[in-house]
Amino acid sequence: MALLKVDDLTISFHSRTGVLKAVDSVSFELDPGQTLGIVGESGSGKSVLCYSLLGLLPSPPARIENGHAMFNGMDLLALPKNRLRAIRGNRIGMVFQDPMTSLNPYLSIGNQVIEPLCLHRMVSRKSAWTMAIQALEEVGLNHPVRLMDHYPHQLSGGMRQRVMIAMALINKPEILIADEPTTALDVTIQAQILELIRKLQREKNITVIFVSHDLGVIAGIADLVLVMQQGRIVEHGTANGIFQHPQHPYTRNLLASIPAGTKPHGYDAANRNQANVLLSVQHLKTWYNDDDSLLGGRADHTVKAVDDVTFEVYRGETLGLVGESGSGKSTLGRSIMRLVEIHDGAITLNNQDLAGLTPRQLKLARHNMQMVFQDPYASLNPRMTIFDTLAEAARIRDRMSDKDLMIEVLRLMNDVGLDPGQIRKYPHEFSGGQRQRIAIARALALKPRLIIADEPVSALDVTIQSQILELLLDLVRKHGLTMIFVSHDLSVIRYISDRTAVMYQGRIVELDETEIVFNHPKHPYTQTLLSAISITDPAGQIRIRGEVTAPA
Amino acid sequence: MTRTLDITAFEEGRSLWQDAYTRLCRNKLAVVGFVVLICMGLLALMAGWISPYSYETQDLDLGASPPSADHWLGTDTLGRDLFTRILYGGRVSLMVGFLATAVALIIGVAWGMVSGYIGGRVDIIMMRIVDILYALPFTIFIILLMVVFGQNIYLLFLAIGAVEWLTMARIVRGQVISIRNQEYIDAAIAMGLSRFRILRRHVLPNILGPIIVYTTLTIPNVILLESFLSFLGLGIQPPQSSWGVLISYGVETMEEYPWLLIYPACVLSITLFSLNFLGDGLRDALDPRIAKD
Amino acid sequence: MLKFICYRTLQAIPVLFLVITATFFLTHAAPGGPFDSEKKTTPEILERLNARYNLDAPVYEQYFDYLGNLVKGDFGPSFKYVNRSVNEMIMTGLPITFELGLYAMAIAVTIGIGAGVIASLRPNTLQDYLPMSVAMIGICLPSFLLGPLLVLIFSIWLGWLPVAGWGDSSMDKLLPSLTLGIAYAAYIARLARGGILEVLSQDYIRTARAKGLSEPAIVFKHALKGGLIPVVAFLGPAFAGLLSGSFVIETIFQIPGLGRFYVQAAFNRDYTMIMGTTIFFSALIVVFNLISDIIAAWLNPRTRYGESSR
Repeated sequence: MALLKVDDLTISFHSRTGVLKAVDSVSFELDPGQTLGIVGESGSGKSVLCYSLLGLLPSPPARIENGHAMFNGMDLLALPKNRLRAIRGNRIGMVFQDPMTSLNPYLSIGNQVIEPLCLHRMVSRKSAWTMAIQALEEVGLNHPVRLMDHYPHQLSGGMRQRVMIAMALINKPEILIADEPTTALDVTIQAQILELIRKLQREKNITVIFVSHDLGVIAGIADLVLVMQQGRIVEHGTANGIFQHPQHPYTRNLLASIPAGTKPHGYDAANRNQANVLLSVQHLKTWYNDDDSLLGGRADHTVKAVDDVTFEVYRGETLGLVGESGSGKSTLGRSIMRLVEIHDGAITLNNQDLAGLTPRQLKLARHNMQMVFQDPYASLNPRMTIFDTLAEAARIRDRMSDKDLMIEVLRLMNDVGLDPGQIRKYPHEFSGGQRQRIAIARALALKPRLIIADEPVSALDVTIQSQILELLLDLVRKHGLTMIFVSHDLSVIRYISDRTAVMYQGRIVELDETEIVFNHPKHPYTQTLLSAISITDPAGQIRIRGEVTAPA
Repeated sequence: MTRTLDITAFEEGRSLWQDAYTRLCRNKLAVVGFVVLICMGLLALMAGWISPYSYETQDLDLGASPPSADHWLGTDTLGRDLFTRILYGGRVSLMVGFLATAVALIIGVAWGMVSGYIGGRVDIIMMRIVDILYALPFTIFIILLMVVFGQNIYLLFLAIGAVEWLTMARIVRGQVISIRNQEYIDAAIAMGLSRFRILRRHVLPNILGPIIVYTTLTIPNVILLESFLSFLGLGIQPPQSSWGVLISYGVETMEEYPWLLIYPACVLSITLFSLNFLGDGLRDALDPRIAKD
Repeated sequence: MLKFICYRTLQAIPVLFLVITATFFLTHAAPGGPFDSEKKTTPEILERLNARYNLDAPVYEQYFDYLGNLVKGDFGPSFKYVNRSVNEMIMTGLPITFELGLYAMAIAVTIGIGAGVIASLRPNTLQDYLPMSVAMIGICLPSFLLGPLLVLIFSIWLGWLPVAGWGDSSMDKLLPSLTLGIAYAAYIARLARGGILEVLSQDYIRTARAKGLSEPAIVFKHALKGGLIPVVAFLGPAFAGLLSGSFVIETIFQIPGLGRFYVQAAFNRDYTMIMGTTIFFSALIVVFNLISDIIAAWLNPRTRYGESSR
């Protein structure tokens, strides 16, 4: 007997510019105790689907055109408001994506956790408080009694997400809906939260709907999988079935887009000698003050973002820089680019000492190194056309006539795979992936020798990600570029880097050829990092499942 | 920036300004407000051509009289034509409004941009100065200034401008800081562009929106402040009139000659309404959150 | 939190200093003022001034003398009225102005927050447009317009309320307090509505909804705390505005409060009175701003408890 049965659900959004079908004729069934994974990229409608089950969609723009969602004999979509409220947080619990913004900063943890209890069960505040403490313990939080009086800003992201889970499960709901619950967390924390959900699943036999764009996560946690694209279910089946024998082209594309294995074209190790050093970083320290008093900082407010880093990058190679948030990898990149003030140390690019230059010399030196940034929505000036942006960059290196400028801009567009006819358009008229291509074109316009790519694909969908990665590999080869690729995503790093450096708390803890780092990690932190991703590595998960269900 | 003929062959994009303009036009109240303002401005400018009277011409025999064919809005106790006085008064009030706001704008934007963009110690010092000045009760100080130095219309501009620039500086600084953190500014620095060029080409166009909104909403505050002072007798001096002065007279004689109060009051209120509706409309039209979709 | 309080209080001191100094030197520059050789006043007062101020001494000495007197709480003799001191006049007018301000603030806060909350419960409907339009009127109709208008309607035409004066019954005090408070009620209503709607678009409201809370419960338990912070921050400037507003209200309604004394002093060029009242008012405003900033900081748990993790 199905616990939840969704039948031909269609949801559309009505705006001044038209009607958008967010969810298109979706049907599925969920049995008690099962975990359903819904996977899809942005725009697939997976979140809209979940929100509709609890009636959380903003009603004027969103309209449920058709369909039923039968839960225990009731159609969730047709329930009157008060009955729907009785189900929320009670029979069906929900956990959201961003733990940093999903808790009320003005109320204590305790007051927020007891809320569902006081609302749905007739318990006194005192007993609710005790029950809440127990709930916090069950999700693995230490010192739950103390935590109850704390405010959200005093907790880390992982802790907040645990609180969210405790809150959602406190009334022992029949279904838990988790909308990208680990996406905003660091890899190691992600692994912990997933472990927690799996444990709760086992102990309490909860039915879970788990939404994610991350195939690895879904592979590790789901029994059944729905693959969604632009509102429709394109494939559904068991997790094993989908990952081992994907049928639909989109599913196949999705799986193929995950960077798997090593870099296609290796780097000739013979090139790694003194003569070929392009960038040399010696004992680099970037410290900054967390204090904003007039009198300068005090010692305990100093943040050592980059703490004594030394390494070299050889011509034509790609160095991967991997670490979690707070590791200092972005700051390292920005320090080399001289976008932040360094505290101490030497940076030598092309035999030129970058640290000791006059502003004028620095301006010229900048032509040799360029950066591609993470957020495609923020890295282009929204008020300049693409032509303006690229022309501004191209003009810096050489003085050229207007005709030559136009030719150069069109060439750049072609180089990054964009339609040259679009040059008079503005950034907001392009998609995320296209914007990133423009950003790459801008970086190339100055004909630099070194490119630092700071998480360039982290904000993009998986299928677009692989396109941009291929583009970068292509351009690096074509122009003989040297690249430092910064990312938190280990599989991406593995695919694109010749050598890999692992950063932790401002220091490089491991630096070696990529395959050596991944197969024989020496530093304990690297080992922790690698074990964390094995939980979310679809290839790994598929291997495990394959072993379990090996054909006869 | 000259371009080759080639570029016009390419399809034009739709800038954010165009989007905002479309949104603004949809807001009926804002459009009405804008139209009213233009009319008001034109009338005030052409006061000389419209009315046969001067604002000073007295007709003591006539005295205060209600609206008639000769005097469309009536006359005051000295026989001066009210319509004319309202028009000229409008000139003064609007001029004070725009000029004082212009003073505040120039100082505030410059201060805010420098403070926000350079950051660090310079920013801290500049903002402390703003904080300290902000805590001063300026209305009282303006009164003090007027008392001490006499009522000079240029002093009035400066005094009011000196009050309003503070909030403008704070708003501009806030905007500059949020823009400064955007990656396209980093990209511009990484390309080696000069600070000046970055401010002009990358920062300024992107902070223009909130500046326009706040400026439009400052003008009515300034007009109110001037009217307030004039009402107390500390602003514009007779025989020159501003709307505040006219209202002050109107209050004195409101029982016997209500029209002397009602017409200037209506005109002032309508102007303030229009400016506020327009400002609100601009704020909604330029809101970046809506622009993101 | 304590650090914040100390820091903020310390900041207030140079402000007060600046106010006193600026006022003193401005008055010093006034032609015909108490410090000018061409003093335009009666001989008796000149005598008192000389006795108090030693007006032949250099400016700096006079300044420190004045400061010294201030610390003792002495604002000096009036420049226009013989045998009256500024202190006396302040003490006569202050209680009345204080009462007026209190009522006006009470009206502003209750009506303002009430209207703002009601509007935010059903945005973009009549329940929203109506209070907000009325608020717009409150903002665009200055007190010196609204006052006479209300007097015209309620006192002259309807005869319900007195035209002027600060009578004994509370009904007598209604019109002036209302006139003064309405504009601020309007600002507060807009701020409250804006603040609450801003909070309602935050993620944690969605979490509250997913827990099964009703819409009113969401507004009152979750949105109000954060949404009203802009209102609290506005209270400081509101107080300053109310004080300046009292000048006009007391003039229109002939109320013998400190505001009206101030305006008269301005007209009469009673410089010592102006100086004293300016400093007094400014000190009040500085203190009130300080209190409202501290309350706003206290309401935000980030500043109340500081940042500590685990």
